[in-house]
Amino acid sequence: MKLHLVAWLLSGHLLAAMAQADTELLSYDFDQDDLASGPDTFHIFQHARGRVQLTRELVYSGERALRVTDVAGDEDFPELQGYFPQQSTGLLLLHFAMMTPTPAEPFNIALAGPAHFTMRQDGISFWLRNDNGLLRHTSDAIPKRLLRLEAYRWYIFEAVLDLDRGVYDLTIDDENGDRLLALTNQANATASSQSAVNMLSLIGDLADVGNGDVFFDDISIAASDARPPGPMVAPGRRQLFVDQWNAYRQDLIGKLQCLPPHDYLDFALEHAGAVLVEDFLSHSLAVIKGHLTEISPALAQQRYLQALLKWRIGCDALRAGDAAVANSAFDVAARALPDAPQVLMTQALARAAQDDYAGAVALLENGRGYGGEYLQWDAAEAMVAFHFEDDPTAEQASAAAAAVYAAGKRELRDLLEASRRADAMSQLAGASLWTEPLAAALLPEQYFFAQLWQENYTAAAEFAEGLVDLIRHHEGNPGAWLERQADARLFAGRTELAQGLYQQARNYAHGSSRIVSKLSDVAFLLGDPVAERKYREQVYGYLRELGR
Amino acid sequence: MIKLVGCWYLLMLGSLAMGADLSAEDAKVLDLINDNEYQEMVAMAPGIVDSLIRIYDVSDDPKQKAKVARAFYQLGVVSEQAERLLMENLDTTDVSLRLQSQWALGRVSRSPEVPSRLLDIMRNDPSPLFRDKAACALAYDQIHASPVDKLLIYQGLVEGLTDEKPDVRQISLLALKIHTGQTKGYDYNADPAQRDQAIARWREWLREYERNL
Repeated sequence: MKLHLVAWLLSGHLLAAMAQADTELLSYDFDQDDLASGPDTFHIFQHARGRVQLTRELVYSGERALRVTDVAGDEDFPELQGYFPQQSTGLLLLHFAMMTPTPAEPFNIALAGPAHFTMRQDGISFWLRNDNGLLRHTSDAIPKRLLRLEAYRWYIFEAVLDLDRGVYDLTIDDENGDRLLALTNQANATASSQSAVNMLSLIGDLADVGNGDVFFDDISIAASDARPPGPMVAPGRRQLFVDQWNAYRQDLIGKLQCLPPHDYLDFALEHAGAVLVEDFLSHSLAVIKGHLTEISPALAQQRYLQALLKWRIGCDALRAGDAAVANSAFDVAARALPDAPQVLMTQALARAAQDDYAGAVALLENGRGYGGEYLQWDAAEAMVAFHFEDDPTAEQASAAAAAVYAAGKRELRDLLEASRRADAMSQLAGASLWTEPLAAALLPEQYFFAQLWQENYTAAAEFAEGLVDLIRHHEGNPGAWLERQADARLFAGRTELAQGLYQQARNYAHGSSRIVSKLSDVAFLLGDPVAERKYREQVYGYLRELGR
Repeated sequence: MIKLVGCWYLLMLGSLAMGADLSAEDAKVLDLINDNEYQEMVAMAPGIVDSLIRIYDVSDDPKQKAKVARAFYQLGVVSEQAERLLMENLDTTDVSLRLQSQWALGRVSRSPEVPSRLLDIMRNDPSPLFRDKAACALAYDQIHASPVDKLLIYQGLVEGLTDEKPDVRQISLLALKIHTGQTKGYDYNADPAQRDQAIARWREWLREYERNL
C-alpha cells in the first residue's frame, strides 16, 4: 500500500485530511528481505505453541503475508508488536489488510502507547477484536459491532486517528474495493484526547481459548505531524544498545539534572491504588512531561498529583542551578511518593548539588532497591561521582571493596557483586545503621562510573578487572563486574575483548536480555551478521517463512 | 530471630498435622502452596484444582485456607466447587481469608452471583477495607465475565456513584475508570447536583453499552 493512494481511497473529513500525511512511521508488506526484529521495528512473541510466520499461502498483495496462528490452552498468545516513534498530536493513519479462514476464533488488533495495552490515557487508543465472527471496535470503552467476518475474504482497514481530539474515522473495504463500512468521528477506546501511541499489536486470543489463524498484509502507519524517523544504525535499531549509555552521557555531561522518566513505574504510581481517579493518570503524565504546570481546582486536593508537580518544579530548579529550591521540592514530593525510584534519584542529585555527598550516596543506596530503569541509576551515580571530582579515588574504591569481604555480611557482598542487587537493597532499605558499610559497598561502582563518565575507559576497565579478580578470590559472582569491564573495553574500542567478557558475564546471568543485546551489538561491530541476528532474535524474536 | 524460628516451627507443625490426611500427590501440592510456587502450580492446571479443593476441605486453619484461595487466584481456572468454597468465606471473620476469597472468586467463577455479592459488599459491608477490596476485585478480577455479565457490573458500579458514603462513590468511580479509562466528569466530592449530571452521562453510556450487546 503506497501512501499516495490513500487520498483516493478515503472519504470523510479526517480521511480526506490524511492525504496530507506524508511521514511514514512503519510499513510492512512482508515481501521485504530485511525484516529484522528490534526495539525500533517489531518484537515477535511465540513462546508456546502459537506461531507468527511469513506465508505465501494466502496473500493480499505481493508474494508474502503474515500469519498469526493461535493454539488454545498453551498459556500464551502469539503476537507481533510493531514499534514506531511516539505520537500524541496530529493525525495518524493505520492501514492494513486482514483475512481469516477461521472467523469463529478470537483475535485482537490494537494501537497503544507507553501505558501499554491498558484502558487508560496513553494506553489503548484503537482496538478491534473478533468475537465469534463478529468484528467489534472498542469506542468510548464499549465494544461496538462493525461487521460479521466471512472466511477467506480479505478486508482492508483504514483508520485515521485525530490524536488531539481522541476520535477516529474508520473504513473497511473488501478485496474488490467495495466499501463495507464507513464510520466517522468515533471516540477512541478510552475517549481520551492526546493519548499517545507508539505500538501496534496483532495478537491471538487473550483468553487462551482460540485456535484461530489470521493473515495480515500491507501494514502501514503514517503521521501528519511526525518528523521522519532517523536511520537504522544496525538491524532493528536506530541506536546501538551500548550507546544508550552514551546518549545519557552526551545529554548530561557535567550537569546535575533529572533524567527522562521511563514510565509510570518510575513514580511507583501503581501503589497509589485508590487515588487512580479523576483523570489522575492523564494529568500525572502531563505533569511528568512538563506539559502541565498548574492543577485544576477539581484536582487540587490530589496529593499524588501535587507531588508530581513538585517533582517537576524540583527538576526545573535543579536545571537552573537552584539547589535549595530543588531539594525542598523533591523532599515534598518524596513525602507523598516515598517508594518512587525517580523521586529518590532526583533527591540524590539535588543533595549532590548542595555538596551533600553523604546524603546523595545514602539516597542512591536506598533508591536502587525500589527498582526503576537500570541505565538511569548508572547515569545518576555517575553524575554524583563526577560532581565530587576527587571522590572516590581508585585506592579508596579498591579498599572499600576489600572491606566488604572483611565485614563478612552476605547482603553487602550481594550489593558489591550486584548479583542480587534489588533483593539485597530491599532487605537493607531503612537499615540506617548500615549506612556506612552500604556506602563502602557502592563506592567501587561509583568510582567505575565516574571513570566512564570522564571517558577514562582504560582506567575503568582495569578497575573492573581488579574487582573481578577480588570477587573470584572470594568465590563470589563476578558477572556484573565482567559486564562493566566489557562496557569499558567496548567504549575504548577493544571490541573483541569486550565480546569475550560479555560472553563470560552471560554465564553468570542466564536470561539477561541486556547482555544478549550487547552481544548483538558487538557482533554487528565485528561484522558478524549471523551472530548479530542470533543474539538480537533471542531478545526480540524472529519472523521466518512458513515451511522454510 | 527467636520469633522467626517460632513461626517456622508452628508452620511446620501445622503442615505436618494436615499432611497426615493428604495423599502423597496432595502433600506435594501443599508444599507448592506453602512455598508460593505458583508458576509450577499453573503448569499443573487444571488437574491441580482437585488437589487444592481437597487441601482446602481438610484444613481448619484460616491461614492455610487463605493460601489455597491465593492459589485459586493465581490459577484462574473456572471451578464451581472452588466457587462454592470461596463464597462460604465471604462472611468469615478472618481478614486474610476473606480478602483472598473476595479476590479469587472472580477468577474461578463465571456465575453472575459473584459480582452481585461483591457489589453488595462494596456498597453495604460495615468495613471500609472490605468495601474497598471488593471494588478492587470488581475492577481487576472478573476475568471470565461475558459482555452481559460486565453490563451487570457496570450497572452496579454506576449505582455505587449514587451512594451516600463518599468512599463507596470513590471506589465505584475507581473501578469504572479501570474498566473504561474515563470518569465522565464525575467527582465523588462534588455537590449532589453536579454528581447527578455526571451520573446521567454514565447512565447514557450504560444504555449505549447495552445497545451494543
